[in-house]
Amino acid sequence: MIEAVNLNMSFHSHTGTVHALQGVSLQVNVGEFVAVRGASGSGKTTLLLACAGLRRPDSGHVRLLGTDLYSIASPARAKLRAESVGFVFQQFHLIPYLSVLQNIMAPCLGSKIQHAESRAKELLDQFGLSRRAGHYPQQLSTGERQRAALSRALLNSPKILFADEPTGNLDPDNAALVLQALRSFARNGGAVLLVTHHEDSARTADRTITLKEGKPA
Amino acid sequence: MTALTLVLQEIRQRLFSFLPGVLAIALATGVVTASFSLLEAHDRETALVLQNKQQEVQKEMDAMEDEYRKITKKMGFNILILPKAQTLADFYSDHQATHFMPEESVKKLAAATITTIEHLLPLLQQKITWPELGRTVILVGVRGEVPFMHRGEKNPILYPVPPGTVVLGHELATSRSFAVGNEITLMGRRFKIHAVNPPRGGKDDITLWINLSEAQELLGKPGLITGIMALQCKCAFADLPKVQAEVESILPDTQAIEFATQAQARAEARQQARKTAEQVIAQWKAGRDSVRDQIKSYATAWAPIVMAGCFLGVAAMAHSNARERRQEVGILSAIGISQGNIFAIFLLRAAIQGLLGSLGGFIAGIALTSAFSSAAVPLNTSWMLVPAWLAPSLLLATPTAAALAALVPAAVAVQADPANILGEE
Repeated sequence: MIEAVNLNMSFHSHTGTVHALQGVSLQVNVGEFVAVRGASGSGKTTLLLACAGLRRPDSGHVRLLGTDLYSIASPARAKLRAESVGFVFQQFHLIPYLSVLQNIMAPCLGSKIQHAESRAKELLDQFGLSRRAGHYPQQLSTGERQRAALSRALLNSPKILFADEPTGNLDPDNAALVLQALRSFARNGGAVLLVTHHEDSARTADRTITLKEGKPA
Repeated sequence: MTALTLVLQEIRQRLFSFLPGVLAIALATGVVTASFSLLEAHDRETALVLQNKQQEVQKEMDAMEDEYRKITKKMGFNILILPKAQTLADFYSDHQATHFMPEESVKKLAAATITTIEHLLPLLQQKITWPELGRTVILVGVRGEVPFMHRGEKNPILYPVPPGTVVLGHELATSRSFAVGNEITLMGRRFKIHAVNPPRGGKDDITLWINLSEAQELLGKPGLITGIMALQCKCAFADLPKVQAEVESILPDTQAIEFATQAQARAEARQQARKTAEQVIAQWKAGRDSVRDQIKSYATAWAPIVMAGCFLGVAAMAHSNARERRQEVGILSAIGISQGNIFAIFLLRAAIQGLLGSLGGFIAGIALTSAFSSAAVPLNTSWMLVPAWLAPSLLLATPTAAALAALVPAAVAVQADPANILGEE
């Protein structure tokens, strides 16, 4: 499902050039839950963004569901993400002025999702947020926010989930719940690429790749 | 979940950053609406007051017309029939005729069935030097009224001067202390003063009236007259040419002219009064036009400045909004919303801002007009002052302009790298 080959990426700043990715390759298959570990600045988030089509590498290729991501135009990449990809972030990135239900349904802005509202309610129920449907993100606990973000990521029944430190701000119970959801998603035929610096979180994955200074360790 | 829901929710959340944009647009729209409606209110007020003034003038003129009609009905016009060859310039400047016509002409006219003339008075008039006194006077020989043959007897309008007598003009009598009963000598012949006329303020005051036959003898013009006075013609002023034509058809070698009469003077005064009233109205109208021009020039000068200022203000606020929503742009981009859709969300927000602003400005503009226009424009009809095309134009143009103002900030926002944005804490 995800195939990254020999990815290289550098950032230039006044302090010099940072090599974020240096010849990184990666493959995540159907039903597989892969964790990428590494210290801060090791390039793991850059790898995730590159694999998700949000950051073009300097060289190398990314194939997502058989499509060479960076050979297609930006709108086509957006369409692919809208239809087949879900995101979960450490900061939740919920839209503050939308209710929980509206946040979960936000992907509808990008593509037509069949029975979106009933699917959203189903997810609310699944993640114990039914009574929070009309609340706004700032009225939720951090655990609830992440569950809402996870619900949003799952609305379009994606084939791939990208999760960037999804448990970074959560208590152990909520962290376990989120990891369990990711695992369950993979078991049901999805592919998960989890980026984390927590060993416990990485341990939940089927396979772990460790990055150090932009290179596989 | 639609883009409109998202935009409306965002507006609700950031109402205080949304409203200044609406107010700026309302200001621009209000200025435009008020400019047009104030001009229209001014025009309507002008038209209304003008109509009232014209009606007042017409009413006064109608009253004068009625009075004039009554006067002319009682007085009639005075017509003087002169030989056709008589130059009017000489006649008016010298008060004497240089051409003569047979006295028989008056009989011909009296025999005709002319209905518009009441009295016929033949006369012989010359300006002479009164040799005994050495001063210039006007000598008029009159014989009294010639009756119309087809009409019954009437009281004569002027009695003839008896032979051997003279009637003196007021100035002639007073300057020489002549009185009724005195005798005077004119061109070697003695006359008894039969009457002294009251002052008339014209050439009549230096005129001597004597019997026509005696005048013909004194002036050496036997059987000749200089004209026929046709008095109290029954005609309206406007029909005078018809009377002249009728007289001239009976006496083809003559011309008929109208004397300056009191009725004519009044008619002239009436015309003058109308002219003055019309001038006053024209001056008032010119004043109103000048005020209108001032309103128009202010509107023409200020409206574009206000609109441009508001446009820039909306653009600045859109820029600020776009910066504030960077993370949102990153999230939407990450979950697969295309740049075009995100761009449309920004423009939709601006268009709603424009729509609300234009509605608010439109209402404010009308309210402003109601406040500043006079009682000639009642409050409940103020909306009618706005040109029909303005409301749809504003409702179409303002959201478009607001969307244009947001175009660059929106374009910059959607171009931002979502990866960078999502990496920001």
